Amino acid sequence: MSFKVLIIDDDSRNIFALGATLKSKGFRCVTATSAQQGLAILRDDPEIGIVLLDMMMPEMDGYEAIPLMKQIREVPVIAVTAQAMVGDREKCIAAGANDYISKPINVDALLQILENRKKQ
Amino acid sequence: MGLSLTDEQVDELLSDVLENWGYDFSDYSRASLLRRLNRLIALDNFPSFAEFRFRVRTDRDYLKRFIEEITVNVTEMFRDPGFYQVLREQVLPAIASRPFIRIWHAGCSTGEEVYSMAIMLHEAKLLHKSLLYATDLNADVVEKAKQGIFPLGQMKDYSENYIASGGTQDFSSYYTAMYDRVIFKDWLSERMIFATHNLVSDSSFNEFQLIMCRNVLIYFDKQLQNRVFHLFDNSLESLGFLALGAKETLKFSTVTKRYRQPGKEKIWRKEKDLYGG
Amino acid sequence: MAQRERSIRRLIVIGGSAGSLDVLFRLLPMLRADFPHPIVIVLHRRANVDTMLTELLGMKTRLKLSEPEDKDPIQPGWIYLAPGDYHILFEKDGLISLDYSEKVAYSRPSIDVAFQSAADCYGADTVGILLSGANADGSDGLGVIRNAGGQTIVQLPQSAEVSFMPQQAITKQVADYILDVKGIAAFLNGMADTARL
Repeated sequence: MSFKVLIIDDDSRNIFALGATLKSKGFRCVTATSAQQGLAILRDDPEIGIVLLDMMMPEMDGYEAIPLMKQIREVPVIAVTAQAMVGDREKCIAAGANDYISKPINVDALLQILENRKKQ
Repeated sequence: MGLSLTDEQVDELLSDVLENWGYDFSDYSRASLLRRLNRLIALDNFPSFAEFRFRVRTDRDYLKRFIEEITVNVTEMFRDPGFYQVLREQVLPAIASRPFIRIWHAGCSTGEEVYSMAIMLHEAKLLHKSLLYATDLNADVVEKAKQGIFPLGQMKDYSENYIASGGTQDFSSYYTAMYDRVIFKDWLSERMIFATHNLVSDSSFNEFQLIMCRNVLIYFDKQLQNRVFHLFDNSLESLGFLALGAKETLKFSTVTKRYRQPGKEKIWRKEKDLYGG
Repeated sequence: MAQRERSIRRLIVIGGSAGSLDVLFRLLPMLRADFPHPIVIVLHRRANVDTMLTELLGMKTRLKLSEPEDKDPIQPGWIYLAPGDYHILFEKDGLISLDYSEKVAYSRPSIDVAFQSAADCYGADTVGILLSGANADGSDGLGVIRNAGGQTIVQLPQSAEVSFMPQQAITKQVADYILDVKGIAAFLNGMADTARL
């Protein structure tokens, strides 16, 4: 596989669970617990091919982080959010996310997104 | 005493709100909802239910007002000083040794409770390693909470509450007064994260040592309360604390077996997770 | 919306302010021990600084008395004392809902709010009783109970320590009966065991 998955989430349970699941499916993962940390990693690591971004985080939230990420590189950003109301998905897309996945994370759906990215 | 809606009318209205705007109030306490609706209709002088229903269904700006008035946002700093005293003396010391403290104010309204907590954490010398997540259904109310601006006229009562809860500092040192308002110091709000979150529809987004949800669940019916308790259970660390309002209870929920209420205050502690903690 | 629980017969809601505690101390012991209809007492109270009130009133009656928590069920043979600093509301599934919204005429609990909610829920099976007090809280709510077909009683103003509250209800013509404490006890004890509807 040619790319790494960058997981940005301040909830250490997700970092742990997602990382473990994706690794078991053969994906290489890098993790960050803040958007700032994530941006630094994105800047320095050209192998990052997709970003899973928690939308509700301290200091810089997902809505602020997405445009900054797109400035660094045109990388697909998947918004990960606990919010499930109609309109929340649109908000994430409007902020520049390429797709949206809700918590608790449906791993099959996520894997589908990652498989599609592989093909590109 | 003015127009009082029938059950059928309330059902129709809630159905409109869900279909058109995505807010689901169907599991809210019906008696409370009815009261809020009747009050709003009288306040805004709607001559009939049909006109009220039409406005709610079609006017996005009015919907904002609708949500704000249907949900109750009455709150005060250090409300129930005895409760805050127990937080100060028993709960904070129990979580003090964690390397990092996360507290969730679920249904934070205009933020008074969050600023109270920040002050207590500061006095316990814990603020620097704490993060307070403050969420509410209502984006405007969350925006207000972010500002940390409150009416000057409230400060006397809040100061008394603060002292009654065991506070010994000069309460006014936590804010700057300007005309008829005060603004709380930004080193307090720096540790706060504000976001919208709907307890009816949204899921867990982190794990906390303390969840505060006071006088929010009273507006939900029993089934919804139980769902929310499960959400809180999923969001609470082993040995974490759940704090409710003075007349609220965990006793009807299916999570109750794993929680102990150590004193007479409405604070429960989650039992130690034996399998993986 | 579910039909109201048939096991609840009628709901007695008693509201009062200054001078009402004394009335209750005299009234409660006079009620028959097998009084079947649940009673809700709404006194103007501040936040719960004294739990003594529940104990004091509890000692005056052979019926069971408690200060309910949110979503407690209303049961026959019980007396419920509305907690301080919350409004009290009634759900059609037989539960009590507490509410922390704005004070109504500076009061929380508000007697009007309780009477209104009782009328919405119990209709003609509601009995509203208004006792001694210094403000007008309760008289509008009593009217709502009356319009719903329920029965309304006010304390005889001459027998009330502060007559303003019951007098307001009389002036607004919302009282079916005007009774002194003994009369109220006799009325309640004379009630049939069943619901009206």
